[in-house]
Amino acid sequence: MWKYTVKSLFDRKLRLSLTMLAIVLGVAFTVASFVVADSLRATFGKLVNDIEAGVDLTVRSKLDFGESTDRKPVDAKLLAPVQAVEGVKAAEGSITNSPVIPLKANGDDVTTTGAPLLGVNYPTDKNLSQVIPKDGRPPSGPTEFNLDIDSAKDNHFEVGQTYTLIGPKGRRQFTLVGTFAFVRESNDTVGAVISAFDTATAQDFLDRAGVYDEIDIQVADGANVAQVQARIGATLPGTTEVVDKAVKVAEQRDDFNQFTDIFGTVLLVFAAVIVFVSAFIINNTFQIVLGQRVRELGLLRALGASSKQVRRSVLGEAFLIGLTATVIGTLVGVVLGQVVQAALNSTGFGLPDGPTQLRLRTVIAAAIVGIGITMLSALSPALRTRKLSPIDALQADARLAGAGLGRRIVIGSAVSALGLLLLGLGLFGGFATAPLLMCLALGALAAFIGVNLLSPLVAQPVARTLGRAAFGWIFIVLGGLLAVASVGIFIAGIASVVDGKPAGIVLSVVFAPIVAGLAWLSFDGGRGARGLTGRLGRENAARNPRRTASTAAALMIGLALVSMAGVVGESLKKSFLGTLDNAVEADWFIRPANNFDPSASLPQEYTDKLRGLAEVDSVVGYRFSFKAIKVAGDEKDLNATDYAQLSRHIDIDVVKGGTDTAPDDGLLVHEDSAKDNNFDIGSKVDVQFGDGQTETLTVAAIYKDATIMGNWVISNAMWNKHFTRQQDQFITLRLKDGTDPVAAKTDIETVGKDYPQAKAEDRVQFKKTQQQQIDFVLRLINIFLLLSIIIAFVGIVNTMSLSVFERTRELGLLRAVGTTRPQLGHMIKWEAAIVALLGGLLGIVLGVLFGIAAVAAVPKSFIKTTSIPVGQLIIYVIFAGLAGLVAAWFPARRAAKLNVLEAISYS
Amino acid sequence: MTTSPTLNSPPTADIAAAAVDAVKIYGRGDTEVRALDGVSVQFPRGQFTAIMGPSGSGKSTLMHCLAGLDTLTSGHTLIGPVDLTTLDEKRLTLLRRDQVGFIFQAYNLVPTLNALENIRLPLDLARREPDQAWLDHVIDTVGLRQRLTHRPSELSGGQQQRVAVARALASRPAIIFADEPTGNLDSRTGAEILSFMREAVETYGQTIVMVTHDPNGASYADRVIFLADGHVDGEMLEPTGQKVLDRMKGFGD
Repeated sequence: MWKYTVKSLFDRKLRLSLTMLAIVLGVAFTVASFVVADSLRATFGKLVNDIEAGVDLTVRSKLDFGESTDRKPVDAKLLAPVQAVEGVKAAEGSITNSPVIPLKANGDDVTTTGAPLLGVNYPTDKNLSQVIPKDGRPPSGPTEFNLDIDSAKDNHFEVGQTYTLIGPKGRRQFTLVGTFAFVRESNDTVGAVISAFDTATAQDFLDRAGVYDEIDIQVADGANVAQVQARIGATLPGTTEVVDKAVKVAEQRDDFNQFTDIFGTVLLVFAAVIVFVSAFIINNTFQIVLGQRVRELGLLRALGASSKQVRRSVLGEAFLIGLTATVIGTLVGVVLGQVVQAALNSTGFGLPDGPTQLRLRTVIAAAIVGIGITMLSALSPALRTRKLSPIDALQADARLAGAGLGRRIVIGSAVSALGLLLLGLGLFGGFATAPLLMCLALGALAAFIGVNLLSPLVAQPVARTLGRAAFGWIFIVLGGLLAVASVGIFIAGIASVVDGKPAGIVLSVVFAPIVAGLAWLSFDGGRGARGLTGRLGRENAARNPRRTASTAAALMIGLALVSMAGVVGESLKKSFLGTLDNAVEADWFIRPANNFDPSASLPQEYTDKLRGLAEVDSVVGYRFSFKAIKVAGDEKDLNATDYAQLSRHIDIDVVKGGTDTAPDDGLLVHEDSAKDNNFDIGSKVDVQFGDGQTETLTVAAIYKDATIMGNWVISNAMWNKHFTRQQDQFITLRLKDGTDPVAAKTDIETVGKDYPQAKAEDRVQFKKTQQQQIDFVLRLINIFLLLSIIIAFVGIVNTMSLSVFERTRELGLLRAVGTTRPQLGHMIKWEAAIVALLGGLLGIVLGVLFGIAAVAAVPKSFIKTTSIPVGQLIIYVIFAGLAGLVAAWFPARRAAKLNVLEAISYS
Repeated sequence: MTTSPTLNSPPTADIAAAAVDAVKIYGRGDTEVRALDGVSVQFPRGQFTAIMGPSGSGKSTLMHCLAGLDTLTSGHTLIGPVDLTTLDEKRLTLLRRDQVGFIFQAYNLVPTLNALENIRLPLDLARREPDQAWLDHVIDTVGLRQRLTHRPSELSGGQQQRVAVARALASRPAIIFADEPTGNLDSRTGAEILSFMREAVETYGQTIVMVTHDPNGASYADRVIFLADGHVDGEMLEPTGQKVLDRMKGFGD
């Protein structure tokens, strides 16, 4: 029997490879997400170790909680006593601040794709040094600097030349006297640009007068580190601490891992979606394939195979497919992981080289996904073979019995209800993040399965409706538009070649033909909707509702998630823009140019210059830090601002009290937080800061709108007492009434020319960038979800191929009585389009429901309106249909190539 | 070999279909099979011809080649004045659609279309408006008026075959090819189908070529052509069941 199983597998190569493709993709993506996360973790772990290589102990300010960038510097006077402690071999103060922006010879600023531009002091003690000298010599004196070797090379900095650097306090000229590699010969800066100065210059230029960020210490050979640590601790004031290497390495690793974990989790979530979609396809394929093999299996039964043997053979086949796909998928996944890392590096992340990590855990996960999902998918069709009797082999139209309609309704409704219940529980149950996400994920899962169970009930009427010739016109029109686009792309390509960019030929030679092909498929498929071919396509889509629904379901999942993201994104955009229109009075918005550097801030000098402009009425600065304060023991995100002018810039919808005259020790609280803590105007609140101090603040205002300012706001004056970063991270300008906005723009932009680290935008530009940011995230999500849509696409190819195979005789008959090859193609393409349209339609309906639920779950203060991007959703459905037409291309070709005579006599 | 005026004479306006020196070879070398070995035969307009012969005699191959479903290795087949060997795949398809009617042994209908749609299939494929009076006449002749909206799965085997006959007649093709049309039916239902075909020939002058095993079936024809080993092995005019049976006893020895 086993021999039969294996033989039957390899007799059907095409079917086998199509089935495996879905599993391979699912496994590969799972493996890739683990490999990328593990490799990043390992790489960072090693890098952190190397960074701390020579440093046994570190003296620094205490920070009880909050962001590590909020840690205060230590007094430079602490260095000498530390150096004098017995057992200390070397000790040196280190300074790091950002941004420090070198200007290239042509005056342009050096940029990164998100990594910080750092300024540091060049270590003089070799033992503590993280820099490896390359060209020239280390910096010495107030006019010299070094640059890391990659930044120097990439931006054509030459040793001996003088360059302008922009630091936290302003710009200054320095001569580049040397370059260095950071940490290792390979210059592992993780994409950062690092400028180094001697310590005295760094203290001045990097705004660290009389202080160091940390003091790095190496213990003498043979000395007991813990004893030395204790001796140093005894010399330190209470606000500082001395920690050993293990603590620092662990902290830094945690910082890195936080990023890696988020990244890895995101990848895993998408992998899970892909695996889930794959499961539908695999299940569907097994159903169809076994359905087609009923006679063969019946024959086996007639020849004496037991029902158990038949079932085992089917499951054995699934196991073999799963195993093979797991092996291939794992290999593909490792390669994919390396591609992802290479892609990250090519966008300027500058990840240090490290070995690709394929852990046992990853392989086990791959096997569970690959073999488990395949066997699970084959289980229900395999169990159905139980009812197969030997006599079935003798009947021409033998079929596997499906679950009864009644049972399907009951089970489908129950599972859907469970899904909705879990979703509701997740959204409104007030859980913590982890169980909430679990609830949502399981709820969505159950909802998908439930809808899939129920969808065959609607598949028939919906397929017949969607299959109407009227819908064909959409694709005829789309075909026309794509044809125009194709010509446009072709011309654009030629134009750019003429312009002297030979790469533009790719547009003309590759993209234009692809779009032209899509145009033709769309046009051709749309034509197929008319007349008899349309009718046949429609009826074929309706004839097996279960198969149609399952094939559509795979597409439904991808589109539901895309649509949900669309609804949430659109609502977010609309809410934010609404707030901007209604609540924001400011005219200009200024933020750091590097969005990704959390410590990036705007120089005070720049703010002061802006304030000095004749057109400017007032300037308000804002600062922000995650989990920076504790109120009643709980960590809270914190905002700080200038109270006096705030209401003239942003209307936070104050319901009690006021902000204009609030004192420096005043506290602004959102009404929800106020209610939770029983605060009222005048309430005294003990606020704990990360530097260990506690202030008693007085509630000055309670407000309603948290979109911009969050839930907890203190004054900038109060902020300055407890945080190192003394500069604004964001500022708003209000122009004097009646000012000429064009003149103001010119003046503001003139001031801005000297500060490339700041980006000033007027209302229109600011709106646009905010929208673009949301769109960017949406696009990123869509790109990931595209993978699941590609798998659904493979599913349509699969189902259509199998259906063509199954209907060989019917197709032969159609050809015999005069159906032309193009007509046969029209019929098959239109059937696929209907399946895809059904999937798309179900997907956006579910997606919109999910989206509305998700928006409802977000606090009203954040998303105020629910907005459904109707046009976008319609385009999604149309493109789903187009995907169906493309998917049908291959099966249609196969059908057209059928030999009429062989097809008619096929059994 | 018996010769008659209808064999080996040049095609005329009265010939609906013909084969001239038709040779069909399957396989190569040792496995070479000459399914048709120089067959020349003509089918006059308005005649009901049966082709008979033992298994492997080439009768199905001849019919498939005549109908444009298969191609010859050498020689010619003609439908009316058109030489099929000069046509490409697309023209062959259109010729089948417009000039040829088919009745197969089984699986004659498209399962997703109802009886009427199946009857109209070649017309709809050609986007041709049917002659409604003719269509009504055909439907009434085969007695399907009450079953037009039924799907094939809701029809008996005999009813399905009647739909197939109606489909073949509906477009008034130059010639109808029937491949053992009664092979799957009981004798009473089979006789009914053959009567319809006979009636079409007599009343409307329809040309029909039928491959059959059944001497009784052949007796409905005007003429029987016997094939053996890829050759024409004689013909019989005005056949009866007994005459055919006697003739066939001569085969295979």
